[in-house]
Amino acid sequence: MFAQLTDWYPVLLSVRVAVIATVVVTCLGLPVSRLLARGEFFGKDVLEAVITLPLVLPPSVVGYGLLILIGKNGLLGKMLAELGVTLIFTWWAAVIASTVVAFPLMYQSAKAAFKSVDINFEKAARTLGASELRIFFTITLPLAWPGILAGLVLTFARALGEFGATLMVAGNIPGQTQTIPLAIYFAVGAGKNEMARTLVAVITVFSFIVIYWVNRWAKKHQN
Amino acid sequence: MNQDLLEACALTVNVGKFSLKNIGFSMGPDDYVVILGPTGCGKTVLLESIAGLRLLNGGALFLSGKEITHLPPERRRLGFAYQDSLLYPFLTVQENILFGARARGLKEAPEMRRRMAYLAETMNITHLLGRYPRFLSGGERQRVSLARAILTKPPLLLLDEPLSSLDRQTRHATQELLREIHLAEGIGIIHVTHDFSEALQLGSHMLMLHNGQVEQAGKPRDIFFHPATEFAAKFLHGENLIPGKVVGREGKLWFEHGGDILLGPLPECCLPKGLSPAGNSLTMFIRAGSIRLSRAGEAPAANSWSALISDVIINSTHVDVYCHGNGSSWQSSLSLAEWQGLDLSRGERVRLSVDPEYLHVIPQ
Repeated sequence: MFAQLTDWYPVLLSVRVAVIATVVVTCLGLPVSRLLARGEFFGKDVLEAVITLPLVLPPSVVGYGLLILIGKNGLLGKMLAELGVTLIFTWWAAVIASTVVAFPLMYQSAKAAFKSVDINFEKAARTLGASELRIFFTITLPLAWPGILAGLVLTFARALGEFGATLMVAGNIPGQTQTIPLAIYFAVGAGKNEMARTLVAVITVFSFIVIYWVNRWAKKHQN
Repeated sequence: MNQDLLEACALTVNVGKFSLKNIGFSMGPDDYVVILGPTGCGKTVLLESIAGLRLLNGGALFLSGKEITHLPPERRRLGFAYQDSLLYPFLTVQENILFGARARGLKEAPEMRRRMAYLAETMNITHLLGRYPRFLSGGERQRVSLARAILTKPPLLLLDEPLSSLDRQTRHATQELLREIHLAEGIGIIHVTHDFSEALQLGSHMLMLHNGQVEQAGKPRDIFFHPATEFAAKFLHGENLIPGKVVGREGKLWFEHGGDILLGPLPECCLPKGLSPAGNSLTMFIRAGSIRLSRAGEAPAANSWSALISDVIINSTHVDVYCHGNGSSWQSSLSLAEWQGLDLSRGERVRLSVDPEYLHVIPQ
């Protein structure tokens, strides 16, 4: 039924990529969604559409776009190459792919969460002498926390399962860029059904535990 | 008013299509200013502008003689308490009260701890310090919110409808507390409300706003008995607003309504200033409590007229009698004892009368 899992690399790589992508998405996503949740400025609608686009486009399209950007002859790729940095077909490319694809999920959740915060809470904090930065960290973030947590879970899940864009920019190099979804796809393609089943079981159990734990934790800290 | 604590000069604030126009007033540290007006008149916008939460489009603000027009709210050091208390749900009552100290890096300062203990004691919330806001009643929350607002001893406290979300009993107790804070802390207060009874009970000075402009300013009692405009009269629940004109007779001015009723002579003080009133269409303002009601049989006298009772509403404290006479509706308020003595009912003819000193004319 299941194969003995001798090579844990895809599992570890998937988790590593998903964790790093989630951290990057959170660090970038929270300030961006905070700004766009309240501010009104010229071109905001266009910017929002661009940010949300990766959610709608097929991952292969996103992957192709990234290939143009960070490929060997890409716009950014060329500049990085001169600095001696290659991203394409390394596991960092998988991180970039996951980040881009998962970003809209965090953006949507966090924006809704920030919007739901009563602006008077922030005003009250200002009259009590708090600076904008302090208000963001001590008032806005805790009040928006449930929505942000939902965004974190979605981001992590999306990054963990990323396939299309990752395949195009990171390739399928066993021991280097092969994540679980890729390993499953190529195991099935090569007729290694037992191996595929094993990886499916591992990622399913792992995802279940993460989501179960997060939900439990959120419930406990809700009040 | 004495030495200025706050001086607002020609404040103008635009919020979308609405704008606050040319608001000017000043207050001393002993003043309790009530800003009164209906929903949408701009009273909260005015309060937020004073706090620095809204940018001014024109005008200037001075606090104790220093200009604060361009100072951000966190550096104005004014206390601000909102209608719905806005306590932070994830902080305990104690942490909420100390928020202002923490924001200024004084959380551990012993004087802040002492001050918090003192405020908790006076506001009767000491037993709540370890709890979270969601376990508190509305009145308790409002007290915590007040303690939080005055922790760092601001010279001026801004209150946005502080009593509106409270039930009647709690409102009364909180009103007493506000008076106490004002006196014991020696803190100037600006209190925004749509309820004129709060203005009458608390205010030393009142500013009535209408469509973003000052409708009338002065002592609450003066405005209550002598509203300057029809809007003010209606907003203050002026029961009898009677159209008519002022006529001159025997060297004195009288108010004529419908050809039959002649009230007066009008006291000097009740006439609009700077207006030659004779012949002009004006509105007479008479409080229901100033109109006396007697049985129809009594002989006609000056300042009295005949009417029919159209409705009677008996309250626990007084009786409102609605009458119809000379093409107008009249409302008279009687004490329960008076009403019992008269023994009248709907449809009966009565005599209404008013003492000329209670007449007040507003320009139409």
